[in-house]
Formats: sequence, C-alpha cells, structure tokens
Amino acid sequence: MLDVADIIYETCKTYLIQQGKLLCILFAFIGICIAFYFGFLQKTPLSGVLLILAWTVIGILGSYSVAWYGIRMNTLANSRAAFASLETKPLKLLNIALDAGMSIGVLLVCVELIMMLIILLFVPRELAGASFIGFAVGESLGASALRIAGGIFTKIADIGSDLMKIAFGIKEDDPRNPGVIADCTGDNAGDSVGPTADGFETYGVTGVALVSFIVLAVQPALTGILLTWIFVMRVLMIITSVSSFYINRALSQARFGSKKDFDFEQPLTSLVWITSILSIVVTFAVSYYLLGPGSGVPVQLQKLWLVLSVVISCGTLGAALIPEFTKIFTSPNSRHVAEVVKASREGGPSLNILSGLVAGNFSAFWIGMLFLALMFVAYYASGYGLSEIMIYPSIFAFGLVAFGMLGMGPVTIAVDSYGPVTDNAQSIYELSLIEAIPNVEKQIQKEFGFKPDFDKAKHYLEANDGAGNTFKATAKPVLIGTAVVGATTMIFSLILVIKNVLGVQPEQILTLLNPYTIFGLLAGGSVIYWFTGASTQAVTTGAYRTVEYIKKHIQLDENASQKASIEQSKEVVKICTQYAQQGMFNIFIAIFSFTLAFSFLSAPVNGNEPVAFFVSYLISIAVFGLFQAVFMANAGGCWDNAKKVVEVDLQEKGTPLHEATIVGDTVGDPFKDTSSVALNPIIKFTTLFGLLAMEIAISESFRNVAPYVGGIFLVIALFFVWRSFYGMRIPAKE
Amino acid sequence: MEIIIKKRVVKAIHEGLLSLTMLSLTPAIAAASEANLKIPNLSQGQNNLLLYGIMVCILGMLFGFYQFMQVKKSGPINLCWMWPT
Repeated sequence: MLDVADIIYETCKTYLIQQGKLLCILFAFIGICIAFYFGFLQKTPLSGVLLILAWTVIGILGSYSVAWYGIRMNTLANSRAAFASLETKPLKLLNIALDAGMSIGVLLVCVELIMMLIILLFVPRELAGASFIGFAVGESLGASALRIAGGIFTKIADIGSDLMKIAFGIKEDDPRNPGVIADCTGDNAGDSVGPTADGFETYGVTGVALVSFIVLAVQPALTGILLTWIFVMRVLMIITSVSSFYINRALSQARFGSKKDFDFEQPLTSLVWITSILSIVVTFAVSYYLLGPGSGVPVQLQKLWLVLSVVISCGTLGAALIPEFTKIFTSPNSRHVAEVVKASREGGPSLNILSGLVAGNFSAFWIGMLFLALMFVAYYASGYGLSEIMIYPSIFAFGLVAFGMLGMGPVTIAVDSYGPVTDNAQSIYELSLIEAIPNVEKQIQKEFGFKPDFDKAKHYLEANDGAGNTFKATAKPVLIGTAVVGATTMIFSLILVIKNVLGVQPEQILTLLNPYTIFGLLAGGSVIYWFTGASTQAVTTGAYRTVEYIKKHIQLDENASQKASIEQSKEVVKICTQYAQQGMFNIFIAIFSFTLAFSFLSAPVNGNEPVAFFVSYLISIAVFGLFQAVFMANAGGCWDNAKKVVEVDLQEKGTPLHEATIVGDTVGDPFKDTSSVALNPIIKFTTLFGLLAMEIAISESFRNVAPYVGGIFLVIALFFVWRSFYGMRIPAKE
Repeated sequence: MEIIIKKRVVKAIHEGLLSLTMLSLTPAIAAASEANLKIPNLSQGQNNLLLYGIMVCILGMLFGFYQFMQVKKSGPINLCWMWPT
C-alpha cells in the first residue's frame, strides 16, 4: 500500500513542480502591473516597490507551499487509513483522516496570520497598506492558478477512469485501468490542493478586505483599536478550533469508540457544531473584554461590542448552517439524492441528469435565501450605532459576516480535506491487491497483532468515502460564500478609493440610472459563463484524450498482469497535466486581461459616469459567481452520492441503473470540482487585482490614455476567450 | 507539447510587454493619489498583544506538525512486502 502511495506522491511532485514554473510566468505579469503602479504612478522609492513585490512573492509562495504540505500530508494519511481499515476499528480510520485535515487547516491559518501580523507590526507604515494588497494579490494569484489547473487535472483523470467502467464493465479502482493512479494523483492535485490553497487565500483576502475597509472608512482615532480587535479574534479562533477538535475527539471516543459500525458523518457534523458554538461564545467574551465597558477604549466604541459580536456570529452560525442546507441536496440520505436514483431507474441517464440539475437549482435558491437572511440580520444589527464611527456601516457588517464564517476556518478546511484522504484510501486498498497475497492474514496477524477483516474493511472505506463526499460538498458553499461576502467589502474599499481620488459622491455615479452600471452587470455575467464553459471544455478535451489512450492500452486478458502499469499511469498523468496547464493558462490570461481592460475602459475621461462600469462588473461577477458556483457544486455532489447509493446501499453495480448514475457523476465531476470551486479564487483575484487596476485607471497621469490601453487588453482577452474553445477542441481523427 | 506551450507563453509575454511599453510612453505627471491605505501606528499595548498572537500562531504550527507526526506514526513504516511481485 505504501508503494502505491509513493507513486501517487511522486506524480504529484512532478505536477506541482510544473505548476511552480507556470506560477513564475504569471507572477511576471502581475509584478509588472504592481511595479508600474507603485513605482511609476505613485512614485514609491525603489526599495518600497521591491518590498511590495517581495510580499507578493511571499503570498504566492504561501499558497504554493501550503498546497505542497497538503499533498504530503494526504499521501501519508491515505495509505495509513487504508491499512487501518483492516483493523475493524472504524473510529481509528476516521481519526487518521481527521488528524490529517486538522493538521492542514490549523497550519495554514497560522502561517497566514503570522505573515499578516508581521506586515501589521513590522513593515514601515507608509508601505504596510500596499504590502497587504501585494500579499493578498500574490496569494490569490497562486490559489487561482492551483485551483483552476488542479480542478481540470483531477476531473480529466476521474472521468477518464470512470468511463472505463462503462466501456469495459470493470470495477472501480481496478488496477489494470491506467487511469486509476492518475485519478488518485488528481484527487491530491485538485481536491487536496484546492481547499488548502483556496482556504489560505480566502483567509488572507477576507482579512485584507476588512483591514482596508477599516482603514478607509472608520474614524482615524479608532482604526488601531479595531485592527487589534480583529486580529486578536483571528488568533483566538485557532485556539477554539483546536479545543473543539479535542472535545469532539473525546466525545466520539465515548460514543463510537467500541462500536463496529456507525455513521461516519456524525463525528464530523458534531465537530462543525461544537466549533461554531464555541467560536460564538469566544467572540462575545473577547469583544466584551477588548471593546466593552471597562476596556478603556473611547466611549462611542464601548457600546458597540454587542453589535459587532452579533454580526460576526451571523457568519459563524452561517458556517454551520450552510453545511446543513447543503446536506439536504447532497447527502446520501437526502430526498434529492433518492429522487435522482429513482429517476435513473426507469429514465436512464437523461432523467438522472435532469433530476440532478433540479437539485442544484433548488439548492441555489435555498442557499441564496440563507445568505440573504444572514446578511439582512447583519445589516439590521449594524443599524444600532455603527454609523457613529464609520461611513457605510452595513458594508462593514457584510465583511464581518465573511470574517465570522472563516472564524472556524481550520475546521472547515479539515472536513474539506477529509474527502480526498478517504477517496484515496479506498483506491489504494484496491490497487494494493492485498487480498490476493497468499497467507496475508497470518502475516498481518504475526507482524501487527490483529486479524484483518477484508469485507468489513471495504465496507468502512466505501462508507467513509461517502461521508468524505458529503463534507467536501458542504465546505464549498462556505468558501464561495466568504468570497462573495468578502468581495463586497473589497468592492466598497474600491468605491472609497474612487471617492477620495475623484472627489465624487459614490451615490451619484453608482446608480441604476447610470447606463454604465447596467453595462457592468452584463459584462460580469458574460465572464462567469465563459469561465464555466472554458474550464469544462479543458476537462472535456483532456478526458477525450485520456479515454482514447486508455482504450488503446488497457490490458484485460486473463493472462495479463493484475497490477497497475506504472508507465501507462504516468502517461495518463502527463496528458492530464498538459490539458490542465493549457486550460489554466488560457483562462488566467483572459481573466487578467479582462480585469485590466474593463478597469481601464472605466477611466473617467469626460465625466465620472464610466467609473460605475468596473464597480458593477465586480458586483456582477460576485453575484453571478455565487449562484453559478452553488448550483454547480451541489448538483455535482448530488450526482456523486446518487452513484454512491447505487453502489453501497443498493449493491447494484454493473446494472443499467449503475451506468446511468455513472453518466450523471461524470457530468457532475467538472461541475463540482472544476468550475464551481475555481470561481471562488477567480472572484477574489479579480476584485483584489481590480482594486489595483482601478487605481491605475483613475490616476491623473494615466486616465486619458487608459481607454486605449484598455481596448488593447480587451482584444487580448477576447483572443484568449476565443482560444479557450477553438484552441482546445478535440483533435480530428487522423 | 511543452514546446507549444513555451511558444505560446513567449508570445503572450511579448503581447504583454508590448502593451506595457505603450504604457510607459505615457507622459508622467507626478500625482501621488490619496488612495494609499494608511495603516495606523499601534500603541505599545496593542503591539504586545499582537506579539502574543504571533506566539499563539507558532504554537498552532507546532500543533500542525504534531498531528503530522501522529499520522505518520499511525501506520506501519514499510509495507512493501504487500505489493505482489
């Protein structure tokens, strides 16, 4: 089992190194923009520009290295979990995967906070703000690139190996299928790297959004106090997450320690709720201690501790409620999943797909409503006195909701990272062919002192994988939600910058009566739909090539080796990498160019109206992105677990029903793990980088030429949009 | 394939550089905007509090590594014998 894990880790390494090279190229683009703005337009001294660029590099390296750590952790945990399954101790199996997730979650939040605190405490004041922005842009760049490429990679491999089940009637994780190892690599490169890099970025960017809003909107005398309060809260959230983890560990031990069978979702659910409740308690206590009566802060702030705590708790509660809402649509026990299975029994793949789309659409409705409710409560609470110390208090409240959602960041990431470990563990078990080894039972008994139970082991691994699927699905809307809510705050920082530079009242230009506002909304919607299409197209062509390759090389004769072929597996990995990088490159350059194009085209040449164009573009991608992402993530989760139900609960593998659910699952694959998850970093990257781009566009020395340069970038963007389909088509048969 | 990607990258870089050369030709008028985020100076007490924060984060990292070792230890070190030859 360790052998297989090693191959997986090796291929992951090759992939990550290639990704690193590509990141360097992307950094060159961003670096030039940063240097141009600060060095040329702002006249920051060279040392200052270099410091800001250094923070950008640190941001990219941060995303990149936590991704690396995540992969290493996962590849260690997967083989351990596979082996532990033999021991008939399901709790031990669960704990290995959860330990791994917690390790990643806590570590990345700590690294993030240390870096941000260093900027806050040690960087010279005149450069600290810019360093924050540089750092966040870097993180966001790294996370977007890793998320997009990883998402494409994992699903090419997944679809490629899944379709073999229909084509040849072989079972899941059959070692003779060269796609299986690539699929495991993909689980790490996509599903493990994704939440790690994404979580790291989300945590940082939301923080920077709040920092910039506080600095721009709050009375100068109070900014120091509020910044300290925000950061102390974030630090304490690490302690609450770790404490909840241990409390939950003890509880699970008491409840399930001796049981041979239990629902793997339960300990994860209780972990989320314990953390949420503990975080809310700590929020109130710390806010009272730092800001409340007797804390020595100015009087007008003292009465606000309660309002601020209530607003943050909306977010923390949301982080526990959103998973519950998601389960309604994606859990194996849910009605929607049952409906998909029922629909496919008579209706085959077509009704399966329709029914899954229904689940996705309904989930977008309910989760959208949940966000509306949470943000409304936050808005309502912000009406109680926040306006005395800042402008636009409700926007600050929205930012705090995102902050509250991330309060339990380590745990959200831990349950998200649980999925890839369990998924891999199951594959590794099958790939190791352990049952076929003669006398293996006695050998294990002798060396490790227990008698392995193979049937039970397989059952545990399958059930655990189902729980992993569900929790992977539940974490997605939380991360997407923070992107949107956090982006709102960032956008308003941008609006305040515009207000300061141009000296206009934002209310005058940002209205629905300004045609540019409408144009921006339309542009945002277009970009989101193009992005969905482009990322799915990369998966489709890549999967086509993979399927073609595997069909040609798979050896299913009776005499052929039952083992996985290393050479062919590596070839499949190569195909996946190639398409992932090509797709990512097209997409990223287009997104980058669109941001520059739209912001430059919004430059105020004759009057200030055009400025609204870029602002509403940002709002639009956030809103469209939220719904598109939630819809796709949950539809995909629903299809995935419908297949799981057929395999595990109904035991109908190899039937037409199973085939119908496999078709649904392959449709859902790019939905849930490519397009939807990449929207989160894309939204944040555009918003953050857009702040910089807009500052360039409105600076006096540049605004007159900006529209022309914007036009050039629009042409570049459109070219890459064109290429993301016409340059990525399935090659014609020779 | 890598060569093709490289070619594309080079092409894209050229396109980027071209547009940036155009940018740099624009007349430079010194106008530092008010856009910069001005991070305030923190008081001694706030500074100290946040330094403790860094310490907590370092402890958190240690927790992360501890978990890493726990997982590493939880399985047999060498299972190569399980791989059938």
